[in-house]
Amino acid sequence: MSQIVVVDAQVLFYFHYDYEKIPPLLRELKDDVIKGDIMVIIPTIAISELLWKMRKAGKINAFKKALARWEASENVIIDEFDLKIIKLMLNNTESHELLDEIIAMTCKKYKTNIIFSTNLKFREIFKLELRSW
Amino acid sequence: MTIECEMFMTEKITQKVSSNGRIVIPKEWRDKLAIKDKNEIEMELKEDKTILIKKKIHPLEINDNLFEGVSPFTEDELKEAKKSLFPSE
Repeated sequence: MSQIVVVDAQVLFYFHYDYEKIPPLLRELKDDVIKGDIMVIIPTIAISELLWKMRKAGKINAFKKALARWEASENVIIDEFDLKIIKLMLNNTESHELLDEIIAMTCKKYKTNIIFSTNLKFREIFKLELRSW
Repeated sequence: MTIECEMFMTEKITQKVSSNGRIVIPKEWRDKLAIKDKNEIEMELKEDKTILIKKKIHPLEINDNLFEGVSPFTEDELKEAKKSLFPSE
C-alpha cells in the first residue's frame, strides 16, 4: 500500500516548475507519486492559493492545464473541504489560522501525519511530520 | 555541412505466449523506454490485427515547465494569499 501525504500550495507550484530547479525532496516526491509509492492528497484550499498567485501572474491557462493534470493523475486525490474536516476542527480547542488548520485537518481526515510544506506551524501547532526543503 | 540524426530502427522479436496470455517486454526495450516496475502500459488492438503497446504517461511526468516565468511563492505572497481567503484573520 502506498504512503499517503498531504501537500500545500508551494508543492503544487513546484510540480509544474522547471524540473532542474525543483528542490530534490520535491523531485523525489513527484517521482514517487508517478511510480505509485506515494499517494498525494491536494486540499482544495491549497489549490485556491495557487490560483490566487497564478491569476496575478497572468497564468490562468497554465493553471487550468495543471488542474486538469492533477484531476487525471493516478495516485493524486483532490480533497474537497467538507463536514468531516469541520468535525475534526471541533477537536481543536484553540483558534488557529483557518487555512493552516484546514490543511492540517486534511491530514487527520486521511489518517496521515505527513505534510510537505515549509510552514513550521504544521509541526509546532498541529504536531505533524513536516517534510520541508 | 554535416547533419546528425539519431536513427530509431524497428526491432522485432518472437515470443511464446504463456498459458494465461502473458508476454514479456524484453529488458533492453524496457530500459530504452524507461518502463519501470509498477509502471502502467496501454495496449491497443488495431484493425489490422496488430497490438500497439505504449508506456502510460503519468500527467506529472510532463516536464514542460508550465509555470515558466513565475517565481516560487515568497513568504509575503503566502501571507497575502491567506489574507485574501480569510481577510479578518
